[in-house]
Amino acid sequence: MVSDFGYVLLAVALALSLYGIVVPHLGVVRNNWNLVRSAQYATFAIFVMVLGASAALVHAFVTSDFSVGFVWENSSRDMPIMYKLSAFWGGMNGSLLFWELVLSGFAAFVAYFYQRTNREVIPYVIATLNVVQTFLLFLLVGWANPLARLAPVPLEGRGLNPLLQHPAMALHPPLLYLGYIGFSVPFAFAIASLIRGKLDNEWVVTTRRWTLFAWYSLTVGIMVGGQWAYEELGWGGFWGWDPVENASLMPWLTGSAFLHSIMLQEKRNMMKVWNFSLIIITFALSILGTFIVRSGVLNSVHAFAQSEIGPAFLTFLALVLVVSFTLMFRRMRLLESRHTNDVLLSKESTFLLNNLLFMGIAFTVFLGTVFPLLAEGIRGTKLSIQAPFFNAIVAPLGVALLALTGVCTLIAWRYSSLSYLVRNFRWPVAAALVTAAALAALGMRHIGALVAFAVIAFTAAVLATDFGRAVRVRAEQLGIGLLAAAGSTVLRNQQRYGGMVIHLGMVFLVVGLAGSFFGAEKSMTLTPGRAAEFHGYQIFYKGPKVQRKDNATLRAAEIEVYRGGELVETLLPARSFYTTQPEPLTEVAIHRNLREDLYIVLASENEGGSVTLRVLVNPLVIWAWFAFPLFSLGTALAMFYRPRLLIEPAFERGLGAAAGA
Amino acid sequence: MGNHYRVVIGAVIILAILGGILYKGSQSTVFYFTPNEIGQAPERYLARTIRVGGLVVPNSTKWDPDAVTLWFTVTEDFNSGIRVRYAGPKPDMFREGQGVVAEGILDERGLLWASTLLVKHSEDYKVDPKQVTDKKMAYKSLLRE
Repeated sequence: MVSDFGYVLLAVALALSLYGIVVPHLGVVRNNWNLVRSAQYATFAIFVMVLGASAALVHAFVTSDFSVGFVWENSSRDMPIMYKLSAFWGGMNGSLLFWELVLSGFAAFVAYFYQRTNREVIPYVIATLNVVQTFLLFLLVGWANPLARLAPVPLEGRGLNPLLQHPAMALHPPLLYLGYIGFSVPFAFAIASLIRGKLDNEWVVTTRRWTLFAWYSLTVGIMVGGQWAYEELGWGGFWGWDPVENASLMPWLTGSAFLHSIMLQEKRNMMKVWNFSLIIITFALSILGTFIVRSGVLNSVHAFAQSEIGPAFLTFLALVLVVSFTLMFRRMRLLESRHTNDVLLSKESTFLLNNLLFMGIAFTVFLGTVFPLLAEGIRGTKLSIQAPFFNAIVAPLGVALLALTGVCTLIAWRYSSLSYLVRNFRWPVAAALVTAAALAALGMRHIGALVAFAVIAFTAAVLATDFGRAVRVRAEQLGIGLLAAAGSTVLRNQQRYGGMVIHLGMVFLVVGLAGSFFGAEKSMTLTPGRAAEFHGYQIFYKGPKVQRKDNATLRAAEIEVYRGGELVETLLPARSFYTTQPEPLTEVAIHRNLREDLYIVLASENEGGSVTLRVLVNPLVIWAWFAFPLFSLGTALAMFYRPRLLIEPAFERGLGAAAGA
Repeated sequence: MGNHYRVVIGAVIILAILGGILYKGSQSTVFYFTPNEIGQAPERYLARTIRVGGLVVPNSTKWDPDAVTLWFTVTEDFNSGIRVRYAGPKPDMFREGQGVVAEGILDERGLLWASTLLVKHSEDYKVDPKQVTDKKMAYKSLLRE
């Protein structure tokens, strides 16, 4: 009953979204602002209706109403309430509804808050967002209805896939969607600006925070996804270059390029065409990401054509690309930048290089992800492109990006002299060399690892010395203590220091990733009472232990981990059996310290009472997690900075080296 | 003048990336074959990494927990098959008669020295693409044909 009502709401929302596309245009053509306003109200109403439909689905989950097919497929009575709620995005139809819910919220927000400040473009911003909404609502009302009913009504649901019953998995999809959908706001402003021929920097400046927000959500979403893979899948790593993972990484890469390149437009009035292209590509990759994950194309290239969702997504994707780029090329002549900078040793150059590297990585990931699909679809050849391909190309480019982060921090806009650079880079380069030499002396022979850690040291040193210098200068100028000076330095230039804090987070993230250079793995079979030695740990198998946990039965191996004769931790690697699922699930046990993770998987219980364990040592993993608070702090700082519209020659003032950006 | 340098540097980087993609791409691409394809001309598949997919022949499994080694035969028609030696723990879902994909190197005796083993879930296990990971993924496209 409630679910039927929800479906009707979606159908009405679909009609309203069509109205919201056509009417703003009419309003502009007839110069009738009342029409634009009515489209604005339609956008609010869509949000309310989608909210109602979502509430109907939540209601069905909470009351275990298995007459709703989607609830039957993804929920069961014995599931904890948290997973009953997160099952909302546990399957395709619910995910699409969640996407539409967030998008309709963003659209309503934009339609309300930017109506005065961006009066010239707002009708087409509303129209563009409604085009995307129409697409999603069309799917929801037609082929992917999450509220469709079943008859006869099943007595019990099939349960959410146990792999998804993990806190990280409750968070990971919504965060990714917030990222994807967040990029649709700058995209809509870009398209509206192209339609209106309003080709100044307004769209970039207006949507700066949306871009940051989208970037942050996507970043955290990807990190949480890696955490989930690490803890739940039990193969020992957090990133496997799986197409599903790559799908979220691609918009992140182009989005990161965009985030940097809009600064060139904001500060230097450069890169206008490029920024339009980047936001179009980023939005298209968000659509492609959802397509890859949700259409079933990965199960079989041929199966996706039988679902209606796959072709619908591809058609929409093609439409977005063709229409957007056509709009852009029509305005090409007006978009040529009046300012160019052709000095090699300048901040501008580092931004260009930064974009080149980001796009190089994105292109590599795109090829590696899409090529096997194309090969299978076109030639019928089955092949898989493996992690070494991605690692070999992405890792050097990523390290180069991190080095560039350091260079960019110190180099000035427009022009830097060589002697200035030598003076400023003395200490960071020394730090890099000392680090590499120390590691080599400790016995590290892997060239890639030495370079990676040297670059980590270099960039960390640049960030530290640059910030230290700014704080000292400020303390002397104002005659205040260092701590107060540090606070005031940051607050005086939030955008710059927000960026630096995020870059510091990147340093930590790369430390965590570079730890995989020294990982080790061993499989061992132990009978109760026996122990084995691995990487300085003594692993002692006490015996089996069976536990109940929520809706699952855990068959665990009780493992005591000793180091230097002392008990460090008792671990319970396990296999969990769910009543709704025929196969057990691996429950990894991890002992974590600053140096490394000891990661134990219960691979099998053998006849005769022995267990086979896979034991891994994953160095420095925890360091990647230190990036999370830094990303949050940095984003918050940059978020609360309010940029001004650039009037042409205004950037001339105050471009001293240290005060760069 | 600087712009000239920048174009050169950019071009060098782009060429390096493309070269890397071509070189590494050809190195890290692994093709799938069926046991019968290999059985017809085993010499063509020697000394390179391949993926072999098929069903586990009943009573062909030998699991040696102390050496952590799993032996089995994969087949597509139960007439002929490829013997596999997998150096690693027996996966949870490994069953005789079920679909697997083994990745490794074929030796002259026709034994596949597998370093990776992917196991198919049982049929009624609903697998949403979202949840499927590399280790659980690749078999599906193969075995559904």
